[in-house]
Amino acid sequence: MDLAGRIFLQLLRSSLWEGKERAPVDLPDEPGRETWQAVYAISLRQQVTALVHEAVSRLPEHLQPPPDISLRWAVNAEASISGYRKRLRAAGDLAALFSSAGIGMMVLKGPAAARYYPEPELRQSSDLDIWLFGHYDKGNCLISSLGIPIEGRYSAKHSVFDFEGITVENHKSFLDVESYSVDRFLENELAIMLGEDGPREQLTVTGNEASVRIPVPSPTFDALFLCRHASQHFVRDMTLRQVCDWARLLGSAGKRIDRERVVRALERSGQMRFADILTDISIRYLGLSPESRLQDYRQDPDLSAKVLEDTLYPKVYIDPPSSGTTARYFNKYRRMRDSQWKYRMVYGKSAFSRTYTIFADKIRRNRRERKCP
Amino acid sequence: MRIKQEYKIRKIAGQNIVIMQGQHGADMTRVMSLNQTAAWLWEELQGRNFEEEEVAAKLFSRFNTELPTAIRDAREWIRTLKSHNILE
Repeated sequence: MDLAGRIFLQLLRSSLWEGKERAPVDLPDEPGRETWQAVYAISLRQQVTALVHEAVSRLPEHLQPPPDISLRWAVNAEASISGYRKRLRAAGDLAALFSSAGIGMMVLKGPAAARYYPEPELRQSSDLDIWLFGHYDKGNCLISSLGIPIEGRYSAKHSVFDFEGITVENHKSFLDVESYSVDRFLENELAIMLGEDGPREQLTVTGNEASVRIPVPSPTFDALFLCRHASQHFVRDMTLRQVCDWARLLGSAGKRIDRERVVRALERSGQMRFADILTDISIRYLGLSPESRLQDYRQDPDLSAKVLEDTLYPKVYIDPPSSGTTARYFNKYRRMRDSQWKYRMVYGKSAFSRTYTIFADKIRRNRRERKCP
Repeated sequence: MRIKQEYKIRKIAGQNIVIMQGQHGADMTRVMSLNQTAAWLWEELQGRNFEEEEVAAKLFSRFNTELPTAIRDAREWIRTLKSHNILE
């Protein structure tokens, strides 16, 4: 790993923890303009701009990045923080709107995962994921009745609409149950968890109109959900933000996780190895305490380093300009060929076999449109 | 009046900077630079309600200035923050 990568990890680790858990940042004297530019670029790409900036702002003045980079970084961090607040206000107003129609609303991922962080608003996100406790269609109809267009209403996983300038994903299911058998298994586990435990934790959110309490998934639910979410991204485009979510979940809410239940579900769904790698990266590189791990696991430092390297420096496949269909498919083929090891880790089979299964499922799929009353 | 909670001073290259996000993304972002006195007032008064008299009194007692000057500077500080929609 190059100097920029090592500095980036030090800063990220420092901003993830508080008090005694916070590791000191030990930078080489004056990292230099190019190095700072590279650290900034990594933090943008890894979707942890505000988090890393928080650590940068605590550095002594002589170690700070050059002023122009500092300013750009601060502006981006502020945009991320301001976006978080805006999403939270929209969540409050949306929950109040659904509540007036007798529909409960739970938020997933974004603000729900942010609550595990020392400063939730530093956790970057782009949209708002909601779950309406089985009232997916009713919720879509309510939104439509306000004249708000809905995309993907009949999609397998979620519909998408714009609310107060925020992109909202209304989840029909938590996971992609139509494409992946592992998701069908985990979806069932998550539904049982939600049915048995209910969302016992809540966020108090001040919307533009009033304050509301919004249910969020339990840490046990999140352990399954966030792990699978990360593994799905891993084969395509995982970022360190997803690994940070895992580290913070185990570090701050580990005692509230029903570990036996989570380990059993992860093992049965073939996701345990991936979860152990996430944990190992969190311990080795992000400062998670080893006592916070879900279980004792077989350590493989080389594999953890490979996953981290692949995440930090993803190989980019750019279609040549004005390329034809053949060139684009060849690019796709190369991407899948190079990702075989990732598919095998997550699905226990190759990317090509995985793609065939998805196509077969899509052909079998028979969606029916539901009309609003 | 009070300073809106979402704004805070960032120290960038020795400058006291306040970043104000626009409604429509980064293109509308504004950056305000505060001198030492303005930043000191900000730190003293953030997180609570205050009136013009209190701002003037703070300037008067801290900088041992003439009272009319303190009042004029207090008004100017408040006017600047209001013009950037930083006060509520």
